[in-house]
Amino acid sequence: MSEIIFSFDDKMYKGQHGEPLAAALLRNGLLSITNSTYHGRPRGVVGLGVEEPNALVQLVSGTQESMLPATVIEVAEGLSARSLTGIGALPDAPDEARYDKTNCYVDTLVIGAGLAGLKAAGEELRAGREVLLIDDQPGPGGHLRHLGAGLPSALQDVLAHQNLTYLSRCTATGLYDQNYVIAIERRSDHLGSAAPANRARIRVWHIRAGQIVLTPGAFQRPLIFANNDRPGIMLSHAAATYVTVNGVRIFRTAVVTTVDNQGYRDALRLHNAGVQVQAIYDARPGAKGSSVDAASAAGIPIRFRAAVLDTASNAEGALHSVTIQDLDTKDAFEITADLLAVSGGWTPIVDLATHIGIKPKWSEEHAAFLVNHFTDKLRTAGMLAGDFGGDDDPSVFFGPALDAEQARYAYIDLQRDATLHDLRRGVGAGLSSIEHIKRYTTIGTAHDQGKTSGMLTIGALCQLGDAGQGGKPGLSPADVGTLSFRPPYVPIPFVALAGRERGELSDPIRITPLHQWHVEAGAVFEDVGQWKRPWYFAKPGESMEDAVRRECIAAREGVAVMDASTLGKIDIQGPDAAVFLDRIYTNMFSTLPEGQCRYGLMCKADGIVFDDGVTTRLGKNHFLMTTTTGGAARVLAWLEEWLQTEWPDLKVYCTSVTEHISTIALVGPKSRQLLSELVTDIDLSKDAFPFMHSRMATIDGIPVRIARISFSGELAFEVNAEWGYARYIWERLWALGRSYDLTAYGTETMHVLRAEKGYIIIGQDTDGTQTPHDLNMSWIVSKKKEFIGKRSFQLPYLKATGRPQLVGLLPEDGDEVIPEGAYITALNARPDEHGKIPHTGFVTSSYYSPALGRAFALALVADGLSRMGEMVDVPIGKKLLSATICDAVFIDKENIRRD
Amino acid sequence: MIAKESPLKGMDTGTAAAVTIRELPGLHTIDLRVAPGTEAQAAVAEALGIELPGKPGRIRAVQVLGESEAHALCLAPDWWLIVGYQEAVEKLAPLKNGHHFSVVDVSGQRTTIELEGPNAREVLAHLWEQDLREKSFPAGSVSQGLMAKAPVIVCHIAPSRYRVMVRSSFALHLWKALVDAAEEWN
Repeated sequence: MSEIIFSFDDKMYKGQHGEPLAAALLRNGLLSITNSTYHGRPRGVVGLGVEEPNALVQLVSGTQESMLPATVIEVAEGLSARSLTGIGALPDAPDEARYDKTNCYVDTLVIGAGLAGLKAAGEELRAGREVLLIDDQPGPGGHLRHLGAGLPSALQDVLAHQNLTYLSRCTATGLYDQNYVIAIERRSDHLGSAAPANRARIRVWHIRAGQIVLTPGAFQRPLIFANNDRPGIMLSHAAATYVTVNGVRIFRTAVVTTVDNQGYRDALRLHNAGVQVQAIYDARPGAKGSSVDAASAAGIPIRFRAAVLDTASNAEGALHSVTIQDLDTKDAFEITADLLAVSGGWTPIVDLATHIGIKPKWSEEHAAFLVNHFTDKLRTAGMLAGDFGGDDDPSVFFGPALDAEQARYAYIDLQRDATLHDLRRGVGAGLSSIEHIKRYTTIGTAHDQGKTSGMLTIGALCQLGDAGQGGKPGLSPADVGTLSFRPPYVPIPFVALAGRERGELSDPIRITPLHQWHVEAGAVFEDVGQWKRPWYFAKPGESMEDAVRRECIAAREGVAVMDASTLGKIDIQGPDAAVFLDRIYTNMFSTLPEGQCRYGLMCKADGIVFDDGVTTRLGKNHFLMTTTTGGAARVLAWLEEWLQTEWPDLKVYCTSVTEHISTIALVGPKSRQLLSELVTDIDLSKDAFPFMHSRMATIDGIPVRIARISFSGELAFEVNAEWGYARYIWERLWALGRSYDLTAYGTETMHVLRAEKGYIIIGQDTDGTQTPHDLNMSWIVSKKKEFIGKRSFQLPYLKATGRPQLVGLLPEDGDEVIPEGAYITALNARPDEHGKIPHTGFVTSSYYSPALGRAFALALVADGLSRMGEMVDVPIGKKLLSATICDAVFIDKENIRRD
Repeated sequence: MIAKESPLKGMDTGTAAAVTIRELPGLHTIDLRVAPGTEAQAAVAEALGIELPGKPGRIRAVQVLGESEAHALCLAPDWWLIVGYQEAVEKLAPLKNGHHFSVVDVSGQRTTIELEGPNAREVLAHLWEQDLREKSFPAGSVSQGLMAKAPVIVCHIAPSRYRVMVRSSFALHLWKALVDAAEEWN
């Protein structure tokens, strides 16, 4: 231990490295360190660890984390903190500390490194198992640490065993099915300013264990009496530990109130440390045991059937005197003390066990809920299983009977300022379930989640009934049952849950082999699923509109190039491949000759359009399917689902080759001429290489597959090569294309070009309710064969009138690009009887077309296909635009340009 | 011949004591699908001159003439990847008429990131939810899953040496995630 300086509420104090901040504050005389959240009453440290209901602080140093109990913060070089009144604040600056997670599989996980946990770990090691031992304290030993005692050598051997991993400052926060545990390890705050920058501050452990041993220990309980919240009133075990282990010397006179022998042990520790223990007031009629004898021998007065009724404070609000009541005669008297050490029995930590649905059982003998669970997978030990390890003999007592006025200041939940009065009001309002009372009074809803208050609430509820103060008489805690505990057992900062998955690591960014070229060319990117795709390539000074217009003109009048590598690609092989595709697509593929391509549309069984793309027949039993960029994974899953579950007799295998094959689309009237400079081993002429044909070729020795596929209606070639060759081919095209003014274009121009030709984008021009017929694509629906979705076309609602159908829309004002998503109403529509104007459709795609010299749109309009030429209104805010319904193909209806 | 460009071209492969992370670019890979226990499978194995591991999750190191290191990975009962066997597609082509199987060159589909060093396993554990313990995933094991939300195939090639085969579009993302995970170990 070394002495260091830390800061609290802007004042400097001396502390011992590694001791709890709570201990350092007490030793420096800070008995009262905050005011309570709602009643504004002075409050000080009550407990020893995460159960602390009062002493919340905010770090000023480091991460500025808030709502941390002073009992768990370790004093370290550079520590600066300030007191909090219940409600913390997140700092404005981002938390730049490192947080990570890890996954761990282990034979046996032991939760709790107290005596029971260490013993269990030793047994597991002797059985030849690997053990992970976790504990939320800075060191092993549990209660031994609080006694300042060292570990017996046998247990030191356990810790030193090569098959044991011990994690200190590691708290199990949740226990889930299949022995899955989440734990958080605090790894750097205790090192203070010496912590390495690359060290994760908090690590979230995802642990899967063959067996779990739960030995979480227990919290000491407070008692309910009037003004039980004053600074100087502490749990006896905490007080004795701070005095004897941490050298707190601020208490001169103490009173101990107890329901078990723990109070005697703590009274002795205080006495031996020089605190004058005025008396032990024991609620029991008598007590036996070595600690009782020892206290008696030390000359500490002991009085049975007596308990604290009330307290009084000094001018600073700290404890000054205690009113003791004889529980039989009800006589009361006052005694001065600056420390009231409270021992209300033990509450074993049942939280984790209840996470997986184990119900704790009440033990009258232990005055506690216990979990005795012994299976191959999970077992409990130590205090949780009822091994209190001493002669405690606790009585079931939660506090003396209090009148209405006393109840107002008899606190059950110190953090929530919830009192016995509040509880009585809840019961008076007719609430009987502990879960209802919790929500009515807010008891157990603060940062500590009722670690000290939960059991008091149960006890108080039973006592109310017995005293005729509301509720049912004769209730035992067994009847009331425990509160439901849910993960996390202690608060976890969101930043720790996020871990490394922040910023660019928060979600994968998928890129094509041409990505770096796009970046260097100044592309503005669009997110398409996880892909980054160039949206448009703006030259200096160009707006998006300028760039898209330039790109569109290049594609329609010169030559333009686009990276289409994101398209999903699936290799389909097998003797039944053609039959399979006939069933998957609405149109026929078995008739497709080898070396040719065909556009295909697929529906789900409900007849609704699902995906589309061009599929090429590479050989008799060999096809290459392309899917939409976003649909690649779900289409492959769809194909596998049918092959594996419905048609296992079909001899077909599907293999994703999305990232094996890169695709470059070369588009425009000059595309053939440009490509012929690069591809010299095949004839690219119109007659030798017709539209929707595919040819193998080479570019500088690189094998490529070239296909005459057009998503714009223009003459176009797709150059497909292995992923790693894309950059080379693109650069070659780019160099050769200089004399053609070759223009790179992005997804926005692609959208304009395809919309001009009336080509749909599934997901943009459909909303998950369109059949091929609704999209004016009856031409692609085969009548000669069965396919997925065909039968659904007979459903009455898919044949009914009034269905939205895909049409073109020309705004009256050709300069007005209608916002996508805009509603369409009938011309001059009047409100109906409900005062509403019914809509008749909505705009799905809308652009300015340089080729048309005007704005245009695609829209889904009720019965739109039979409303050609009809004028409609499009209300935009307070403006009313007019537009005419037209055919969805705006350019080259005769399909001349593609050759 | 024009050289292929790997998805992680230019990434630093700094050597460190705890773990070294490097790309193994351009590993030739074929995807093989054939029903197990059939004549087709026997014919495929014979044509390739190697024994295919029969159990999903196992890797067999195979000797291929002219190749320094080749591996057959069994990913599912009817699914293998064969890594480092340049002539595999060519050798299987003549079988196509008589047998039903699928063989696809997928060399460009993924790249391989190798982690080597005493803490390679710990670095992977930050990003990999599956059990990496020696008794569950000994050298010679392979498994598929998501790593940093990217679909990957993890191979335990040799003690303290792992390979992560990652889809090319995800490679840079996974590289950054792995280098980041190694930060505290190096």
